[in-house]
This record gives sequence, structure tokens and C-alpha cells, in this order.
Amino acid sequence: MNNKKWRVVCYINQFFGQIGGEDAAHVGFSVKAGAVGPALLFEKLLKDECEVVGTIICGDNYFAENTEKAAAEGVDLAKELNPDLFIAGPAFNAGRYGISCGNMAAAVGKAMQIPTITGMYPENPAVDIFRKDTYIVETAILSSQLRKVAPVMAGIGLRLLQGEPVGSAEKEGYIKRDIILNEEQEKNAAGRAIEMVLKKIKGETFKSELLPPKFDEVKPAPAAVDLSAVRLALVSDGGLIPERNPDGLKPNSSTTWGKYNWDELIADEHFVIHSGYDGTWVLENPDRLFPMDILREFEAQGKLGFLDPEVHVVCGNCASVSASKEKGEKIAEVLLDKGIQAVILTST
Amino acid sequence: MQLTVETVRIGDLQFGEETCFKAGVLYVNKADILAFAAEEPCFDTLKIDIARPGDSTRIINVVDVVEPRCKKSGNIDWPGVLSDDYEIAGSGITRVAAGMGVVLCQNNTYWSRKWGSFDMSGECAAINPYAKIPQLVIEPLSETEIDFRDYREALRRIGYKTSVLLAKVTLETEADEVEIFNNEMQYPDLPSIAYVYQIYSKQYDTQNYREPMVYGNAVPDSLPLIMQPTEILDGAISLCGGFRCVTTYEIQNHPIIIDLMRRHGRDLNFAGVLITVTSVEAKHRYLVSKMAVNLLNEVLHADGLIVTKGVGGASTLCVGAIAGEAEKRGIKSVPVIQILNGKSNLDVECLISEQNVNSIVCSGTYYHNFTLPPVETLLGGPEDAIYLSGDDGVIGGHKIATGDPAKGEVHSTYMKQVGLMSQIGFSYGMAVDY
Repeated sequence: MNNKKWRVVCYINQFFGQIGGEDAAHVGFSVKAGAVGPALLFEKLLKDECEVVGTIICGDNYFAENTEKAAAEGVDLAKELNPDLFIAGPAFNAGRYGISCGNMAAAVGKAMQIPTITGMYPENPAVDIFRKDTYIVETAILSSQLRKVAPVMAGIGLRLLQGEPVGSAEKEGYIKRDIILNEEQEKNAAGRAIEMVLKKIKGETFKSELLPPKFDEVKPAPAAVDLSAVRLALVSDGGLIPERNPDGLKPNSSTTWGKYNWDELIADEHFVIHSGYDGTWVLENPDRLFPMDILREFEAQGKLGFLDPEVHVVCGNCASVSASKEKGEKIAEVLLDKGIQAVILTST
Repeated sequence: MQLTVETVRIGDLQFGEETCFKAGVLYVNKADILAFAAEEPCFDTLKIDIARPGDSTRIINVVDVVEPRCKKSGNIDWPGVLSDDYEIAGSGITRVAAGMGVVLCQNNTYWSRKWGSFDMSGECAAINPYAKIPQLVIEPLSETEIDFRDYREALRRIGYKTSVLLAKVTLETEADEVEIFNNEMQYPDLPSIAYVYQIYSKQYDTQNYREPMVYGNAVPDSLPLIMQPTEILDGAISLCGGFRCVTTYEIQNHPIIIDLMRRHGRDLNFAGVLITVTSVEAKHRYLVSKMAVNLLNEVLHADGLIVTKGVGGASTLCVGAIAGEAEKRGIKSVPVIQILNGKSNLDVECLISEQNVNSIVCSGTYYHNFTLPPVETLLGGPEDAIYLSGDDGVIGGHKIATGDPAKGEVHSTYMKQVGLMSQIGFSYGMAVDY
């Protein structure tokens, strides 16, 4: 490994590839041997350990008009160059360029299982789409700041190559990848809490380690006025599932959900997978979690129009907000497909 | 109330023919501890081992760690737990044999619901205070199935009796340190800080077993109680419900109470302690938060408060409600909470939603994961014990998750490592976005 250098491939758009400006944005992919444009800077920064073996260039519009096809095309070109590290952009605040850099970094990383890195302004729309799939180093709005951001990108890239740890988002200057880890501090939490409360009492500045989130305002749907004409379904976070756990729910941090025919669920082996409460009482009488008994009576008496025979189950324990949102959206879709107009959500 | 804590530092822990303290070494005669088991009909015997820092040893099924302590001044040790006689703890003289722990293991994991583990060497040991001192590890053995309530309470008694015995044998030796804790004299001119200590949540009780935590009594739906800080250091609060990210050792050395006591009269005034429990009904939560803040305001006259919680989401909502109410009344509030998952970011995962609570300490995410290498010695369970993966088994759900052999490479989490995450501020970790 002593004299062998890591192979780096860079991706840039037509403008940085010196093909042309907006007039050349429709131009498709090309590959140039060695480093072109910003890649020259990365080559210089990484010269002791790496060699930029090629630069892939693509027009912004060409990529944006069919991102899936373009990404596949780009991945094929990258594969031919056999890189150990892939650097895209940086795209700064350019929207289309952000989309192509994000797509390329994510797709190459996934296809080749190599580290990838790019750079963007935090408000670039591509940031939210790709921040979990690659390292997006935070940049300023304008490309005149290239010299400032390139060393940060190169530094992270090199450590990824060397298998060395990359620190927190704030410390390293990349955009959060939705991984939360713990770091040991000089003072224990008790000491930090006493310092914080004293500062707050004295009116001094302090840094809170967490802040209450600002959630979306969810406007409730209008109330179901006439229950006798309503199609109703039940949804719960209580984790009551078939013994064989067909949807792969987990006792906590579960990202999946399931829908089960109530009578089959109860007749067959079942259990409570949720590890945040004692499931004894639900197992003793599952109607405690899903009030099917009483609702069926209502349905039989005509007080309720229709009761969905399927129940919809998630395990809410320690679920992340984004995973919950995703599950909620999927359940809502299924309910809409079934023509459901109202739900009762039971929590544990 | 004044509590004097005398500390003798022990240099080493060894087995010996007599339980005694000689030339810095605490010798333990196993027979003395086995005698405690003989008083407990549910156990046949005990497995007793010593684990040392640096050993390739993993201790599993850990439900508690206790520091050897006894009363020197003729008071009752662990009133309500080790005796039916009651007195209020927290006065007189307490002797501490510092520099070791007594680890209690509950090896019938089905009922333990929550258990922790820790390694005496490696990545986690490097940041774990319990891996830096020798540990006397006690695992009950029994041929027959034991009711989990009997198991838990018997194990606690054995652990606490052992703690008392080991401290008692040091009484002839002069203490290395003496510290007096007393906040009777109040300093109204200094910033006045109260501590709100949420000790318990019934959401983790198994089969309606209410963990007897306050002088051996259960307090499932308690309203806020004013308790003397020295009481808490001295045996008023005791754990009996499996490992939930706090140990008796941490309560005995309660870092918030001790720090506030040490600074009392210097740069702050320690106003006092309120004990609360997690509410599982909103109605109870509203009342507890209003009542707690009323006591803080009208009785303790606090300018600020620190509030800590037990494991879980419901507990976080409760401390958030107290902090939010307190801020409304002008009392500056710092809750100490955790993040409940690892695949997200801190912008959205703070479970406190009261927007006026903008001063929060975060002692980590539960799910910072570790892969730990195989070990030579496994304590706390049989050689072929399973290290439950993913979660801690399912409470009352009649199903235990599968896992790797505990002696081999195992997957663990920050919350499962006893000593890495403390609900009461004993630990050093903080959650950070990556």
C-alpha cells in the first residue's frame, strides 16, 4: 500500500467542466482523464495519498430532466474508472447541480460501496433528499468559497478512505446524516445541569443541549357527524401482532407496521412486541387495545356504518419522528383505498 | 438534617477466610454472604465472584450495583427494607467503603424485564466507572422456579446486607475523608436551586408488581413529596425493579444532591428535594406538575430547578410538564433527559415540547450501539446464556427476543451498559448529531 495511491473520481457540471454555461446545460455525460476544474483543487489537497483518475461531467438540464436514467449512466461511467473515493461538486446553492451531485454521490456510494462526499449550501433543496446517503459538507451560497470548503471535503474523504473516525456534524462541518451518537463530556450531566440552571438564573448565556422541536401543525379532519354512515377503522401503536411477526416489527425503534384481520389475529398465536409497557393485560383481553367488541355491537345495532375487520398495528416504542410519519402516511393511504372515513387511534 | 459521611478507601477486594479490612484490602468470606441467602427461602445458594478492572469479564443480568455503606451512629440500615422498624434516614454518621461495588444479578431474565450488563475491559469499560473498581458479583441460584417478586426483593435484601457487612468491617479503621451534608441553613441571597427527582414509573411494573422504592413501600400514584436530600443519600430510596439506567450506587452518590450540597452556601442555595413519580394518566400529570411547582414556589422558594426522570417517554413528558409549569411561574428549569432512538436528529427527537423549556441537558441516546468482543469469563448467568439483542426482551408479552451467546461477540446499546447512562446525571455522555 506504500506507494499505491487511492483512486479518486470527481463529478462536476458543464459549467465547472468548462464546457459552457446555461447554453450547454443540455449536454450529456463526458469523462475527462485526470482532474478538471474544482477536481484540480482536490487533487492538490489529496496529492500525497490519492490520485484523481478522472472527472465525470454532465450538463445540469440533461441530469435534471431524467435523474434516474442520468444517475444510472453516471454510475456506469464511475464504475469504469474504479474509484476508491467519489467526490461530487460542491454544488453550493445551485438547485439542479445539487440534485445531480446528490444523486451521483448517493448512487455511486450504493452501487460501489465506496465513500462519497459532496458539498452544498444547507438550503439547497437536494440537501434534505441526500443528507443520509452521503456526506454533504456545508458550504456558503457562492462558489467563490470553493477554497474554503474543499479542504473540509478532502479531509473527511481521506479519513473515510483510511477508515478513521469522522466526528460529529457540527465539529466536522457536514450536514446531519440522522445518526445520533453519544460523546463523553468533561462534566457529568449533573454538573452540566447545575451550571446551566445557575447561568439561566443569572441571565447569562448558555447553550441548551436540546431544544423542543417545532412540529408541523396538523389540522384535524372534520368530525364524523353521523356514525351510522361512517366507515371506521382502528389503528394502534400497541404492537399486538401475529406470533410469526410477518411484517418484521421490532420491540422498539420499529420502522414497519402491519394490518391483520382481527379474528385471525386473535384466533392464531399472537403476542405484544412493544417493550415499553406490560402487555399482560392486552393479552388477557385484546379488546382493551382494539375496542372491537363494543364497536361490533355498534355496527350490529346500526349505530356504526361499517367496521374494518382489519386492524392496523405499529409499535410506537422509541419510534423516530420521521419513521412514524412515514408509517402514518402509508397507513393513511391504505385506509383511503379501503374507503375508510374515520379512525380511532389507541395509544399505549 | 445533617448527615456525616465517613469514607474509607479500599485498595483491593479479595476473598479470604474472614470478612475483614486489613492493610487496605477488603477480604470477603463467602460464607458470610451465603448466610444471607440462607435467610431467603427462595434461593438455594449464591454464586459469588470478584471481577476486576481489566479482566476479560462480562457481567450480564445486572439489576443493581451497591456501594458498601452502613450506619455508624446506631441508626437503622435501610429502614423498611432490611427491617420492619422505621426511622427517617439521613442523619447521624454513615460509613462508606469506597472503591468497590456489589453487583446484583437476576438470572431469570423472563421476569427481570430490564437488565443491564457491563464488561470489565474494552471500549465500554474505558468510559464506565463500574469497570474501574473491583466488583463483588452475586448471582442467586435455585433449582426451582421463583416468583419474580420474591426473587427481586430477596436479591435486594442480600445485596444491601452485603453492603452493610462490608462497610461494617472497616469501622475500626480511621476514615480517609469525612464530609458533612447539611442544607438546613438557607441563604436567601444566593441563587436558590431545588431538585425534582422523579423516582419511579409504574409503566415498567410487571404484572402489577409495584416496585417498593420509598422505605420499602410502593408509591405508584404518589403526589409530590418533600424529602430531605440527606435521606436520599442514606437509604430512603431503593431500587427493586430491574435495571433502568440508575443504580443504588448512583443514588448513594447522587451527583446532583452531592454537588448542590457541596456548593450550598458558596455560590448557590440548595432549596431542597421534591420526589415525584411518572404519571400514566394525563389528569395525574397535570396535577403533579401544578402541585410540584406550587411546592417549589411556596415552600422551597426556588429560583431554579433541576428535574430528572426515569426511563422512557412517559417519564420525559412528565418532567417536561413540570419544567414548563415552573418556567411559567418564573422558576428557571433544567430537565435532564435522553433521546429514545439513534436514527434521527436532535432537532426533532426532543420529547419535551413545551416551547418555554429551552434549557435542557441531554445525557445521551439510548441507542448508541456497540459491538463487544468475546470474553473469557461470563458472570451473572450460565455459560450458555443469551445476550438479548435489539431490546431487553418483551415485558409481559410472553416472548423474549433472541440474541447472541453472551460469552461471544455481542451487540449492545448505551442504555444496556450499566454505568454508561445514568438517569440522575452520574454519567458523562451527551447526544450529538452525526
